[in-house]
Amino acid sequence: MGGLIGTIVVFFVIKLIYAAIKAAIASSNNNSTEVSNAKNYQREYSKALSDYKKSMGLIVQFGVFTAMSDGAMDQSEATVIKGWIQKTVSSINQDHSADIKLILNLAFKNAFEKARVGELNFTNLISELNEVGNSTFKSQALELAFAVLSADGKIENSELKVIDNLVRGLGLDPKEVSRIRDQQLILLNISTSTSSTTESILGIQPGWDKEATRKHLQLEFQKWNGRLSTLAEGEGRKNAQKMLDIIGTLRQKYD
Amino acid sequence: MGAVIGIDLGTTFCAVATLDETGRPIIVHNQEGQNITPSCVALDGPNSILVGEVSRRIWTTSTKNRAAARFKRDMGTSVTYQIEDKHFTPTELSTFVLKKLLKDATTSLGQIHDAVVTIPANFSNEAREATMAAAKAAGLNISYIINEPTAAALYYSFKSGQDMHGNYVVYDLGGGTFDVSVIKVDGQNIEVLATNGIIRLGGIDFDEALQAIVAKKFKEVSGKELEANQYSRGQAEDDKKSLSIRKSVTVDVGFQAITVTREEFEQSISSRIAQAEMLCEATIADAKLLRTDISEVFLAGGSTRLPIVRESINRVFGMEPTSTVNVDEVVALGAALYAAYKGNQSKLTPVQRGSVNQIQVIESTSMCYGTLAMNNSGTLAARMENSVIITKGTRIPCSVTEIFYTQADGQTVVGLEITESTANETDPAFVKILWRGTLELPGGRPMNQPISVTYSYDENQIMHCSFVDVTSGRKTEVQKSIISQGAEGVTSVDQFLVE
Repeated sequence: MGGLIGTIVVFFVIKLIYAAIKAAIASSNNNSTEVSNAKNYQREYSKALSDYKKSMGLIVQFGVFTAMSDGAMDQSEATVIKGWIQKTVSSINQDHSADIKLILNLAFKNAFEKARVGELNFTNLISELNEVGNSTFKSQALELAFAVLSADGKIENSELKVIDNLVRGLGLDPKEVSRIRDQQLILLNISTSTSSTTESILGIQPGWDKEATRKHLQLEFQKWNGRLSTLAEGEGRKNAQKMLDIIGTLRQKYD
Repeated sequence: MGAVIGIDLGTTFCAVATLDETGRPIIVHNQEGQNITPSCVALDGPNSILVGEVSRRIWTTSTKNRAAARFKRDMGTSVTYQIEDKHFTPTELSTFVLKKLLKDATTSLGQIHDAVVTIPANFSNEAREATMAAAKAAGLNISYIINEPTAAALYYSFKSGQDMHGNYVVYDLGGGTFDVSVIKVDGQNIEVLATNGIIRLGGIDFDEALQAIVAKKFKEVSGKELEANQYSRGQAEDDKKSLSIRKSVTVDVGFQAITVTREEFEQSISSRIAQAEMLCEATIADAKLLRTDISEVFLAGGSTRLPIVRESINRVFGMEPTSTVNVDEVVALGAALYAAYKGNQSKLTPVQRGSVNQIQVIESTSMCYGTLAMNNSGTLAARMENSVIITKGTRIPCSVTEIFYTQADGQTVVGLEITESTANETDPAFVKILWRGTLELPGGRPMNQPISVTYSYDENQIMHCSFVDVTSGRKTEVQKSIISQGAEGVTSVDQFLVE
C-alpha cells in the first residue's frame, strides 16, 4: 500500500515536470491554453500532496485515539504506531520523506498530549478524513486502528467501540472491513471464553435474533475452517483454531 | 496373478484390505494377526525402525521422544518429529508405516500389483503430494488416491448389493481428521455431490480434552501440576473409550483418585462437536439438498463410537446413523474395491472383475483453484485479490475459462499464479500458491488486453492450466499434478527395516 502511495506521488511529480516543459514550449509559442493546463496540473499535484500529508497525519491521530480509548497507551501500542510511521516514511519518494516524518511525528506527539487531557475529538478527525481522504487512506486508518487494538494482546470493549465508530463514520465497505479484521484476528491471542466482546469481534450485531446470529456463525465457521487448512503452522493457525472453538461455543449458545 | 490392496493410512491406526477370490473386499491381517496397525514409529537401536503395536506401547507410556505418532495431520508441512536423537518428517514416518503394511500384505497375499491409499477429503495439495511421495518411497505401485468418505461409500454401496438409490451422507470421524460427504448412489454408480472436512478434529483432540480435565481436577485437589507420566496419552485414550460405555471413570493419579463423568467429558468437547454439526449443515447446503433429502448416514472412523457423536448426528440429520460394518475397517475395504476398479483389471480373476467393472465413481474437486488478479471494481482502491476459477465441488473432469485484462499501457509481462483454497477465498493472505510463472507480451499496446485463463482438471487429478494473450496468441501452459508424480520423499528406508 505504501508503494502505491509512493507511485501516486511520483506520478504527480512526473506530470508536473511534463506540464512544466509543455508550459515552457507553450510560453515560447505564446499558447495561453497550454499554459493554463500546466497551471492546472500544478494545482492538482499540490492538492494531492497536501491531502496525502493531511490524511497520513489524521491516520496517526486515529491510532492514538484507539490506543488511548481505555485511558492509557500501552508501550506495545506506541510501538505499533511508531512502526507504522516508519513504514510510511520509508515508502515515500525521497524528496518528501523528511517532511512526512516531521508531520507524522508531530501528529503523534500532539495527538497524545490532546488525548491525555481528553481533547482529541473523534468526530473532528472523522470529518477531516472524510474531506481529504480517499478510500485507500480510510482503509489505512482502519488497519492502524486494528493493529493498535491487537498490540497489547487484549481486546477492550472501548477499543472495539472505536473501530465500530470509525467504520460507520468513514462509511467503509463491509467487505473491506471484514478483510482487515480477519487479517488482524489471526494475529490476536483471543481468549476462548465467550463474551459480548468476543461476539463483537466476530461481527455479531447486538440487535440480531437467534436465526440471524446462527447464519452469521455458520458463514464465519466456513470461512475460518477453510483458512485453517491454508495457514502455516504457528500462531496464525493456533488463533484460527481458537476462532473455530469460539464459534463452536457460541453456536451452542444460540442453539 | 498378484493382488490389489486398499490402504487406509489413518492418523492413529491403519488398515489394509484386498479382494478375496469371490470379489469381496476383506481385511488383511498384519504380521501380529491384527486387523489394524497403529500409525506409530519407534527406533530399535540406531538404525532399525519399529512400526505398530510395539511402537504404540512405547509412545503411550514414554514421556521422552522415544516414538512418534499422530503425524498424519502434519503431512505436507515442515513440522518434524523427534525420535531419540533423530528428526523425521511426516512423509518419512508415513513411509515407514506404509513399508510395514506392504511387507505384511505381501507376506499374506504375494505380489501386490495395484494399490490405492486413502486421504482425508480436506487434505491440501501438499498433503496429497506428501502422501503419494511416501507411498512411492515405500515401494507401492500407486497411481490413485481416493478420499476417505468416498471409499467408505463405495464399500457401503457394495455391501448393499447395489441396492442403494438416493442421497447419502458419509460421516467420517477418525483419530485426527473429520470429513463429511454427501453422495448420490445409484447401484454401483457413486457421485460425490459435496465434501468438506475439518483438518484437525478427531479422537486425539478428545483425548487431550480428557487429559486437560484430569490435570485441572488434580491441581484442584493436590495443588500440584500433573506430570505427563502420571496420566499418559494412552491412558486418556483408553478412558475416553470407557466413557462411551460407562457414565464415569476413576483415574488413579499419584495418591489421588480423580473421577471424570461422561457429562464433564462431553461438555469439554461440545464446541468441537458443534463445529462438526456446522460442517454437516454446510455440506448439505453445498450439495443443494435439504436434510430431508438424505436417506441414510453412514459412519466411518473409530471416534463415531462416542455417544455424543451419535446424538449430534441424530440432531443434524433427524435419524440414527448406520454402522453395519466395523467403522475402523470400512475405508480400507472401500479402497480395495477402488484399487481393483482403477487398476489393471486384466490381473483380476473373472469373478473379481465382475465385482468392480460396473463401478463408476464421479468425484468432485475438494478445493477451489484460482489465480491472483487486480480488482479495480467498486469503490475500493485497486488491490490484488484471489479470483476462483474452479470452485470446490465441481464435477471432475471439468474445464473453466475466465478472461482477465492487462493493467497498464505497454505492459510486457503478466505475473501468473495458481492458487488453492478450501473456500471461495478472495484474500490472497489466506490462499496457497501452488505455482508461479510469467507470460511475456508484445509491447506497445494499450491496457485492457484480454488474457484468457483456462483451468482443466482431469479424472487423474491433474490440472492443466493455460494463460493465453488473446490478441497475440502467446501462451504459457502448465500441467500441475494435484497428485505429484515427482514430489520429494525418502529415497530409501531399507537400512531402517527390522527383519
